Amino acid sequence: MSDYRDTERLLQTYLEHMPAPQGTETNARALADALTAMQRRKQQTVPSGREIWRTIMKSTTARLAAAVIVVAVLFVTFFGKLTQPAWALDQAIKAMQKYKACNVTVIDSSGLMFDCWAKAEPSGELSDEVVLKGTNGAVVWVKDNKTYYYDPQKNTVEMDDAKTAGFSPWLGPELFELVSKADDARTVFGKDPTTGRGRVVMTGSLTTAFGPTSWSIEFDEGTKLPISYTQWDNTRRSGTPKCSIVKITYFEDLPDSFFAVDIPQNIPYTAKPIVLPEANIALLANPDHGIRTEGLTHDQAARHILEQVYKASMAGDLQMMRKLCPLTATWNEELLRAVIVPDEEGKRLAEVLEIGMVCREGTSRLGPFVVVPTRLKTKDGRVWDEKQIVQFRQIEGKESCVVYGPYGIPSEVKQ
Amino acid sequence: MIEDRVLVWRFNRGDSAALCRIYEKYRACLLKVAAALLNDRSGIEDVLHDVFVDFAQTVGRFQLKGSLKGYLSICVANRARDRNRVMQRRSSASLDEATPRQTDFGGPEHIAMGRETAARLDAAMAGLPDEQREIIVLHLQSKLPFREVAELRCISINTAMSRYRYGLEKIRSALDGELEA
Repeated sequence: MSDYRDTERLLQTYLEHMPAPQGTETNARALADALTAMQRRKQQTVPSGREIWRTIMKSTTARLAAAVIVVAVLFVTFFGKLTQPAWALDQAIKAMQKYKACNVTVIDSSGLMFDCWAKAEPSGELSDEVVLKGTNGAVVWVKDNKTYYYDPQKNTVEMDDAKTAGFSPWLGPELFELVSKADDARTVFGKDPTTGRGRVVMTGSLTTAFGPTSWSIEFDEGTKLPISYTQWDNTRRSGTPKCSIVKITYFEDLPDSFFAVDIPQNIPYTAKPIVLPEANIALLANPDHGIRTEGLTHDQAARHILEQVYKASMAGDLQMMRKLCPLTATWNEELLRAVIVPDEEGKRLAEVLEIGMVCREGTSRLGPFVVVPTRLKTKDGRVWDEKQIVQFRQIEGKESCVVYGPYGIPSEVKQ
Repeated sequence: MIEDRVLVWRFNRGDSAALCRIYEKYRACLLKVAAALLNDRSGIEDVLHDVFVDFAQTVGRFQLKGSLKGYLSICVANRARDRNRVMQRRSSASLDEATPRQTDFGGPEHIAMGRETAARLDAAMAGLPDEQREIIVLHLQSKLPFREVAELRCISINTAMSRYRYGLEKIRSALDGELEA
């Protein structure tokens, strides 16, 4: 036994084959005692409301996660082939149509975990009610087209007058159609080495109203349901993910009790400031984009540009759309067409029912912006409410404005 | 790793199923760690029992800093060290009652390796200082990298690697000595 490596190998074999007791009785006792200890501890440590509050207030990590969504690819360790997105998405449609509620486990970039319950609108196209509960006590919930952010550290609830948390489109076929049309979309087939089941991973990137975004979505090849998701706030899928959905459980429906929120009483509610992502601001500064606004009030200018945007949408005029909404200038034609002129005739814009007055104002590095509510009708007769952000700017001494994009997720008007 | 983070999160919320899953997932590995570190193998299950009962009492406030496997392995190592000391004091007090190391529950692999070789390694391992023995077991059996062992033990990575190397050299010397004799 003269070689160091030989000794190491011998020891490794010795340790790997180390005999260990197999007694199931003692095994059961250890587990039972551990469970009893856990229950006892839980009973001893159930704190009063005041204590819970103190604990939360002391938490240095207490904070909120605004947006959800992501998928981890950790369970897919090898891939059979790499292709363009030719995967038959239509096969997923039937499998996913009936699932209009879900429970997901989300981990944000700081490692904070959220338990999220979400329900789709009756149409099954967008999320409706959503509740996210963080391990630090933070709660985010969407109700009646408003989004509330409860921050236990600040002892406040901030409110968005729109659905700014949730899924759009809903976790269904439409999402995957859009995802597959992104510029650098890729679909990768592989197998889960643990279960042997087929896995499909779709990756891609897009500049959205939430800023530059890239993703990796993994779903089961057999059921066609997404099973995990990872999202980055850059277009390279690099660095720490913004969030990861590590588990998704689907339901056909969920009772309202799952969306109940329990936070301390008498907390002040304030409006949540609207912050346009810095990475998007540069895209809004091209003087060739937008319309001139000299002599117009913000209300008049916003109405004017939105009328032109919706007119371009109804005409399928992608060039005009890119001129008026600079963020869409970064999208490829196929994707933009899919959003503006969906294949399904009924989902296309048919009529602008109303462009309202400015309902909120804010400021970005470029200048002031406003939020304008609109009511639209699609060709299938359904009516939708959405809010658009219009950014004003002064470039080379000339005043103009562009449409930044939607403020929150649209909602169907129940008629 | 992600699964462990999810399990710990569920455990902290009082989910019994999560504790069961953690137990099932790491039981076999931890039993082997205990078997490799204890001089008296009749205490293996007691060590595992105590480690899990202690772990269960951290519900709601457990914070995972490295790997869960690493954390639990260190807990087993600590318990094993304490138990060895107690047993050593007892045997010093009464040499006649000293308990020989028991290896009677060996499986087919152990038999295949050779009882004689295994017995010599038992003796060689038992002769190592605790800190060297732990590093060897945690690195070779629990497959923990030196960096993680060093962090869990609050020592430098160089110290961890040195202890590992010295331990291996002592075992080699012990085995060489026996062969020469």
